[in-house]
Amino acid sequence: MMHGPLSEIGLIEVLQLLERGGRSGVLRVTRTDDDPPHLMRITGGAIVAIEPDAGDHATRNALVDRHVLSDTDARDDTGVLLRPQARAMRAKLAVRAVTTMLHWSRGRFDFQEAPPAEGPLSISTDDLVFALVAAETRRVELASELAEFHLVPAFAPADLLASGVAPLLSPLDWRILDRVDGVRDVAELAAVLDEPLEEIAERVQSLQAAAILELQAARNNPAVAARMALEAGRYEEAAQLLRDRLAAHPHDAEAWRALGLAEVGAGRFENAIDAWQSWRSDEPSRSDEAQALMQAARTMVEALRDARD
Amino acid sequence: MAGERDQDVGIVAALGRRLASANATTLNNFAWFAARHGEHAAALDAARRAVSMPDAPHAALRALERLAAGRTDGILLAADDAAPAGRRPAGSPLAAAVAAHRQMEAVMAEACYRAAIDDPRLAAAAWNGLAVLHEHRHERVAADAAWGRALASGSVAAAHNRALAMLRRGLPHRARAALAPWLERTPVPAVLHFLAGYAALADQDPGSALPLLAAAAASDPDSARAQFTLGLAFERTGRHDDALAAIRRALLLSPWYLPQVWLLERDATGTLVELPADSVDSDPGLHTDDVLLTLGRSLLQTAHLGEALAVFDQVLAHQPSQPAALFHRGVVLAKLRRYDEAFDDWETVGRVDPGTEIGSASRRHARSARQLASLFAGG
Repeated sequence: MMHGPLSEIGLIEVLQLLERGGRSGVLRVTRTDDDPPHLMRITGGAIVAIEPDAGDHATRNALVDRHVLSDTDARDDTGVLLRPQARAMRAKLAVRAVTTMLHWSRGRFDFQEAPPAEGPLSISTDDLVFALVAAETRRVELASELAEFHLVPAFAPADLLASGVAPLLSPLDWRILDRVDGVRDVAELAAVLDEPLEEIAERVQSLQAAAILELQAARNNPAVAARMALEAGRYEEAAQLLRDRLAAHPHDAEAWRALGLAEVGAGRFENAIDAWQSWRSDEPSRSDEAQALMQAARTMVEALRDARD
Repeated sequence: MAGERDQDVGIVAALGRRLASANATTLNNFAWFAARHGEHAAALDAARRAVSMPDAPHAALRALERLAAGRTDGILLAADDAAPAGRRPAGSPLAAAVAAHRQMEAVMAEACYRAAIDDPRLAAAAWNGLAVLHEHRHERVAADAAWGRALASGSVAAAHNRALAMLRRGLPHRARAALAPWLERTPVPAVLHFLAGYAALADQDPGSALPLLAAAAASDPDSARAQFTLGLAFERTGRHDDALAAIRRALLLSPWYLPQVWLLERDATGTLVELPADSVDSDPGLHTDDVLLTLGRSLLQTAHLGEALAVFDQVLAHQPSQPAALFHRGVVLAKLRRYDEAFDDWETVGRVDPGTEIGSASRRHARSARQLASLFAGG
C-alpha cells in the first residue's frame, strides 16, 4: 500500500516509482473528495487501463463524437473496441488523462498492490514523459508560428479553393474544416474539437499549405480581439468588442457567453445574467452550463444587495 | 444569416470541384461535410460517386442510405485505411440496395441500385433489383425498361422475376411464354421449373403443371414451395392422396413459406436472396386457400393436429378473419387443450360471421372454451 497527497509527491514521481519497481496493482487518483476517482491499473510498472477516462464507455463516446462510429454500432457492435481506430482512440484518451493529472498539485493518490492483470493499454511512464516533452517543444514552436494560436483559420477564396489537385484529407482535417468559421482562432478550434492544440495547429498549417485554408491575424477579428482583451483582464474593452460583434451577429452563442464573462469581470452581474440567457437560447445544448453560471451570478447579485443593505 | 448561407454554398461547391477526381474515402468525407453544411444535393451526389467505386468504404454505403432517405444526420467519416465495403459481408452498393429493398426502404434501395448500375460487374443484377422495385410501385413502363436491361445478361434471377411480374399482372400465359425458352436448356434451374409449373397452374393447365413441379421438387427436394405447389397440382388433377402427401412434405419442410418470391442478387457472383412477394391477389385461379382448408380438415380428422394447425395458420396468414379456418383452428387448439386461444378464434368467428351456422356454433364453442379456460386459470 502506498498513498499520499499530490502536493507532496507528484503523480509523475509515483508512476516512475511504480515503473522502476515493476509493480502491479491499482493506483487511485482523486483530485477532491467531490470528484470521482480515476483508477489506473498498473501491471509490471506499465499503465494497462485507466477508468473511466479511457474505459470502454469513454472510448465509444469519443469515437461517436468524432463521427467515425455510429450510435448504433457503439451500442450493439461488441467488436468495435478491437478495431485499430478504437485502440488508438483509447490510447489517446489515456495519454490525455494522465497528462492532465500530471499537472495536479492537489488531491491524493492511493496505490494498492494486486496481481498482474491484462488491460487494453500499455503505457510506459518514461515513454509518456518523452512524448510529453516532445509535444511541449512542438507546441512552443507552433505557438511562435501561429501568434500564440490566435491566428484565425478561414476558407481560401472560392477560385483558389477549387483549383489544384484533390488533397488527401484525414477525418480530423474534415472536422477542422467543418468548424472553421473565420471567427474561431486555432486555440478555440482545438477546444471545440476536444483535440490536442499542437495536433490541430499542425493540421491547420497543412490545410493552409494545400490552399484550402488561410490564416488571418487576430486583430482583424473582433471576436478574437475580445477574447484576448478578456484574457488580459481588459473587461470594458472586451464587453464593447463583444457588443459590437453581437450587433452584427445576434446569434453568436460564443459571443454571448464571453460577454457574460466580461460583464462579470466588470462587476455587472445583472448584465451577465442577461447575456447568458441569450447564450442559453442560442445554444440549448449547453443550457445546464448557462443555468449554473446564471445561478452563480444571481447569488452574487443577492450577496451584493445584502452587503449594500 | 443569408450571407453565411451563401458562403457555405460557395465553399461546398468549390471544394466539390476540387474533389472531382478524389478517391472514395475523400468523397464520402466530403458528403459528410456537405451534409453538415446543408448541401444535401452535393452530399448525395458525392455519396453516390463514392459507393460506385470499388474501394468504397463502408461509411459511404451508410452515407448513401441516409442521404437517399433524406437524412443528413448519422453520416460517418472514413479513414483512408478503412476497410473497403467490398471486403465486408454487406459490402457493395448492390448489397446495400438489396438490404434496403428487403426492408422496403424504396428510396434508399433505388439510390443504391442506381449507384450499382455504374459498376459494370454489378449492373445486370442492379437492373434486376430495380425492375422488381418498379414492379412493387406499379411503375410498369419503368419496370419493362429495367427488365430489358436485366434480361440482356441472361440472368436466371431476371428471367424468373420477369415471368413472376407477368403472373402478378394477371398474365400467366405471358409468364409461360417467357419461361418456355429456358425450359429447353440443360440443365433447367429448379426455380424456373417451379415458376413454369406455378404459371401453368395459374393458367388453368394443371396437367402441364404437374411434370414441371415434379421436376422442381426432384431437383430441389428441400423446396417447401415446390412440394406445396405440387400438392395443389395433384389436388386439381384429382389425385387427392398424392396431394395430401405432397402438402404434408411441404409442411414438414416448413410450415411457413411464401408461394411467390422475387429473386435478388446481392453480389457479382449471383448469390440469390429471396424477397417475399405480396399476397397472391393476382392469381385467383389457384384457389390456394380452398385447397388448404380441405387439406387442413383431412389432417384434423386423422388427428395430425400439428400439421392441421400449420395449414390453418397458412390460410389465416392470407385472410386473418377467414371463418372456416378460424373455426377449425379453434377445434385444433381445443384438442390441444389450448382453450384460451381456441376461445379467441371462436369468439372472432361469432363476431365476424354472426348469422351463419358456423357463427352460432362458434359462439357455443366459445362459451365452453371460456368456462374451461377459467378452470385452468383458477387451477
